[in-house]
Amino acid sequence: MSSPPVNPLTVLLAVVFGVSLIGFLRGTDTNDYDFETPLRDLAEGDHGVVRPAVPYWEMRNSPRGDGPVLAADLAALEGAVPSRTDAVDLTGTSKREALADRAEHRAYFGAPPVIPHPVRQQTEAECKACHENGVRISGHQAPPYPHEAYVSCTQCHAMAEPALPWEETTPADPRAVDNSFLGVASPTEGERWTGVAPPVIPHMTFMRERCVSCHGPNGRDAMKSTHPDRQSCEQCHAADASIEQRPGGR
Amino acid sequence: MTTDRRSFLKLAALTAATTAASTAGASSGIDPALAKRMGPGVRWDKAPCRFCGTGCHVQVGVQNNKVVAIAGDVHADVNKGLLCMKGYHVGLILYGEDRLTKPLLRKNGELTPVSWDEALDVIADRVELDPKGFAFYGSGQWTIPEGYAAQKFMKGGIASNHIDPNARLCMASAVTGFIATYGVDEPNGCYQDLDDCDVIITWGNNPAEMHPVLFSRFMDRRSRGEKITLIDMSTRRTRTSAHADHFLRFNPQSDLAIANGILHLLLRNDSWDKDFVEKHVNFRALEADKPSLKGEAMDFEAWKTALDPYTPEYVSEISGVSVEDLHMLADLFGDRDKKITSLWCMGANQHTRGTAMNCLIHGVHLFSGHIGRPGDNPTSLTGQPSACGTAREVGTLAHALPGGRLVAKEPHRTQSEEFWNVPAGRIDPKPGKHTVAMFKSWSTPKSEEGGNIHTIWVQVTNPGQTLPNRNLLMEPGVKDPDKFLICSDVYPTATTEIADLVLPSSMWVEKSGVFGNSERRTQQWFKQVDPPGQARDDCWQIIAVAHKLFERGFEGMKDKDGKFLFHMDNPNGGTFANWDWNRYYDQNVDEHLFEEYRQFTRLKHKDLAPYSEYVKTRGLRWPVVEQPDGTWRETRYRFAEFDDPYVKPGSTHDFYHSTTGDGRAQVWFRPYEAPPEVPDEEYPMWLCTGRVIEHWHSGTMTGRVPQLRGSMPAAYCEINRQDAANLGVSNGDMVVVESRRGAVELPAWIDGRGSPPPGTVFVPFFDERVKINFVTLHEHDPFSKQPDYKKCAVRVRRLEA
Ligand code: SF4
Repeated sequence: MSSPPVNPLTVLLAVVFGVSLIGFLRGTDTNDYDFETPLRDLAEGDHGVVRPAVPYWEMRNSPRGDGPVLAADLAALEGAVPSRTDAVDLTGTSKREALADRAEHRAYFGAPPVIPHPVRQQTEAECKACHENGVRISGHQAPPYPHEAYVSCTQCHAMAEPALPWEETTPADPRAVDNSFLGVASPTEGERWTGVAPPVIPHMTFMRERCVSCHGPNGRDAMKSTHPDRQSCEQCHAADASIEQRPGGR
Repeated sequence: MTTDRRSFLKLAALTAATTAASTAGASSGIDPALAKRMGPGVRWDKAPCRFCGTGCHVQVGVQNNKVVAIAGDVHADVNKGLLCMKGYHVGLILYGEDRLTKPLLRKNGELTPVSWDEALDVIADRVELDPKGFAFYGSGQWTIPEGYAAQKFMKGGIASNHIDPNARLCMASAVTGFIATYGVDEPNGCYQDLDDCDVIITWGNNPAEMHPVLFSRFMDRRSRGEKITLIDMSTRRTRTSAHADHFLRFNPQSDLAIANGILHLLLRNDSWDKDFVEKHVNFRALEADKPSLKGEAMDFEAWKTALDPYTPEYVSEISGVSVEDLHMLADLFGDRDKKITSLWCMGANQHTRGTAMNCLIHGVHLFSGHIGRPGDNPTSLTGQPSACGTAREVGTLAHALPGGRLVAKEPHRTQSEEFWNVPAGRIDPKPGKHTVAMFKSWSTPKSEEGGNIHTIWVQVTNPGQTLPNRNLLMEPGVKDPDKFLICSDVYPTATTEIADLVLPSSMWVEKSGVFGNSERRTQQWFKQVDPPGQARDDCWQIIAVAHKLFERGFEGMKDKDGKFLFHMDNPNGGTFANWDWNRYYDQNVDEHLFEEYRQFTRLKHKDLAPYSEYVKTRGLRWPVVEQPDGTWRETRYRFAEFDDPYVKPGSTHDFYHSTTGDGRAQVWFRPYEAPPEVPDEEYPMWLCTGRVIEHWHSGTMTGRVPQLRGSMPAAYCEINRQDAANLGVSNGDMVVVESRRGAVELPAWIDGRGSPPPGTVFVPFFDERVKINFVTLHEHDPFSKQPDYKKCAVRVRRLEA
């Protein structure tokens, strides 16, 4: 082994510490009002329950975690990120299920997925804690992002559910009508020249530079690579110029 | 299938025709790589995003006459492949189930389907009733050809100058600021500033939510290891503040004091740019008797004395910004080695001293010499996709003619009449009514004293939701049987609800278009899918009404030779029947109108290239100047010799439209003045209004996109937790926000999307159910006539169940 694998928990704790530090420093700047809201203010109003996102540094002390996905024992984080050298098990979800599962959070193939859990409204630093490498908590997988680290996550990713209880408290929205948009579907597989040739990449690779995010050990079973230890994907798998926004084509 | 094929062939012909007309080697904007394959049979083509003034380019995937996918356009310089959540979901805005598909006329109080022909007749009747009382209200979402057609229809056709865009409510103060400072509108810099600057200062601006792609364009430089300092000046904490190195919260209106405070310290520290000021700057103040944008010369000593009171201590007291932070700002501007880009938008524009504030931001940059090199410029942003291209450049404003001309100027009228080939004297020399005055007149019964506007035709905007103080400006007109409201739109809105005639429109890629974004970039696209039902292009609607009037013998719709005002030659001989919807796409109407409009653009050195050049590119920044080899070159930096071909050689900087005629820009003295309404005992809190990232403008499009509505379904009252505790309010509890003008009820959100300081609440305006503009103030800037949506006094109380 050339270099020891980084312990994912170390990475996570480093991020958590970093974020706490930012929070601490922010608390000490010169502003005349405080911007972090303690949890108790947010718990319950007369008109419904708010599901606030819990800052990660408060999770250990949080009474009920942060919604179903993160309502987990932090101890379960240990060993949560599988290693690239682990044996690969492809027998879980079928590819059809995997693609359907992906499609659920996207308006069309290529759309940024919506965020299926509450997030805090003002900072993005915490997104990385789970989505940089993709931790698994209580059976839920936080998908690692496939693109380079952009700063403003919520620029592209909308929340699947609003952060405020609203249906009960406001009149019906005249705009809440059905939308008949039908998005393009995901490709199911890459073309192979022969049965054994490596498949070409059947989707655009722009903003999907980190192949391992979907095809690595954290990916959905049927989409995983059987050989995650190999690092240079495009050595064998050709991008298809005709579907990339590149000049030329096949 | 047949429709799809037919429309595809039509589009192909349109593309081919334009391509053939352009110079050799031209390809269409269709990306050949994408066009081949992406899923079965998806055809890709370029278009600018429908929403904000950033002007990102998207690739639109179309299958079976429907938009099925969107991709960020990798070849677009603006966004380099990235979009924001609105851009990624822009394709869905076409497909809300309640699209308007039939013309509707109010009969006995009910909107009843009528034929297009009847609808056009109704409009023609209203024009003939009294052409001078017919008004047009449009927006910065008009495409350039649409705005140009409306402009020509009104000023060159029915000779009424009552045409104004909603841009009046959004960037009019930016225009007056540019004119007062440089004598000509629009920024000298461009988005490249965001790549090259060391420091970004946001003046009451939240680009993380409002111009997300521009925000990430500079913030992502941090992830790449570059050092960039963000100074966020705001009246509340926003997502932008969350990324800032310095967050400077200031009291509403005190931005004027802060800018003056910086100038004061530059003087005191002797750190202003003497060389630049000596060569390129004059000092200016308002005339005492009749203040104008031209102002009068101010002696440098007098200017210095006027700034004496703005000591850091005094400014700190007014603004709430610490003395140290004011020094920090002044030290930055005093450092010529730092490249500073200022960004601002509605915070400085929707301001009763908006013109002054715009002038002061330019003034700080000019006086410190932070202007005219990449990364070092004052950059004003716009909210609408073509606020610059259409409202400002085509000049769809009550006082303007295309290309920076004014109705009040004789030579400008004459030139326009020549370009339009209409008889001399056709254009009315008296400016028409600006937005607020237009709706006020419409809401006043006709009498000797006024109220002569009887009809307003609204296109591509939603004044029923966005005009300030609606009780004053709209409700009386709605009730007056002599007043008539026509509204062209794509969905039912707060305006169609009260309109007398509703026309269904095509939107975005259901029609061809050209937009002009915040960095002077003109961007073209082709129609890619058919509109639903009987929905038709806004531009066609204008031409069709014009032709109705022409058929009736209405003089104004004839040119000097008796031809139709919108006459277009048919290449095969005869007249192209552009008023006939079935023939409308036989030729490229946009190209005809654009080429005609292009003649207007030279006067102010805003030269546009031929239409076919824009087909080939992802937009070009004007002035676009033809080179000896026949190619067209865009300009990134105006007034700077290294890039702008119109700068006098050897002058390094040349403000060649200077109001003083000497190539110099004006640095103004504009004092801090208190706002027209401040919180008092009765109404003790500030109200600020604005947008959120999910929704665009009044939310009629984004509200129909499930992913965006799901994330932000309703308006809320953002409140500080101290205030919430005092009111006994928790998250989600209903509160009443009430001003002297009106009240709304909505749920409270403590430190939600943003965090206001104690004593301030924030309410977004996208939610049709919460008409916050019953609460806002209609007081406006004396020069730009732009109202202040950002501050008024309210009281907030818990709504008892
Ligand atoms: S809304 Fe604005 S920032 Fe977002 S994609 Fe469209 S143009 Fe770009």
